[in-house]
Amino acid sequence: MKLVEVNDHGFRFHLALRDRALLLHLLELYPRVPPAHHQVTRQAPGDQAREAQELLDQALAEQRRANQKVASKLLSGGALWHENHRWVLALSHEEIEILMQVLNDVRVGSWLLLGAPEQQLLLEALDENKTQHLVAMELAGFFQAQLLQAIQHPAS
Amino acid sequence: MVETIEALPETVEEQQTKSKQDLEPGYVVICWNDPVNLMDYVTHVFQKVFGWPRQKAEFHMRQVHEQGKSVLARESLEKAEHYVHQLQKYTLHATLERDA
Repeated sequence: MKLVEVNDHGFRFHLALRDRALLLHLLELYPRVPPAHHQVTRQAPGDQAREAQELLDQALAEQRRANQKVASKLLSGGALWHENHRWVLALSHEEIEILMQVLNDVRVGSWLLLGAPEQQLLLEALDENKTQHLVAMELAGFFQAQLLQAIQHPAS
Repeated sequence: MVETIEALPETVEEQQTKSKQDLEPGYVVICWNDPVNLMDYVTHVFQKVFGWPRQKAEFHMRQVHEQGKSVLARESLEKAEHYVHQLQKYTLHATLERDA
């Protein structure tokens, strides 16, 4: 995945066939974090905390719907197309933020499915299912790093 | 009619008191450490959500990483909720707590 252009409208990347396949695979996994994971406070539940939790749940449900639209746009080829023997990914400034949220949801959700380990997992201790979660987690991190690099150091 | 008129000032006063409580800084927004969010990602999110320069965002990211948590803001309930919503949209582990 290579950044080729940044302007006022957004970002343009060139993707290898493998990059495209992996990115689309990750998008299909969204959303991965269960809604119950998001807690507004660690304090004892009371009326105010319950109200605040409801507001958070509503806000995140709305956001998941909006993010799903961007993910669907990518999956359907609206922002990712074939041109001159390569794949092109075009994202507005808003869409790149949403894609990072989507990828981080997949990363954190995969980590939760692995049992939220505090330390790095040993590959030999993983079954096939958990290996898939670990791969998704690491791949999401890889794409996030690419997007962050594009935002923070567009000239490099 | 008279009862309604007499009851109105109390209602207004109660609403004003509640609104004042909600608007006064009395809550902290805390970001907690976890082993999954990338450090660069956390810095970026702090910059986006709070509009901080990179140096300040990195300072708080390091505090989260090294001390287990960082207090990001002291705000009214309404503003604290707003920040927690924004941070959790990026799947950061952020909560609001009463300022002790």
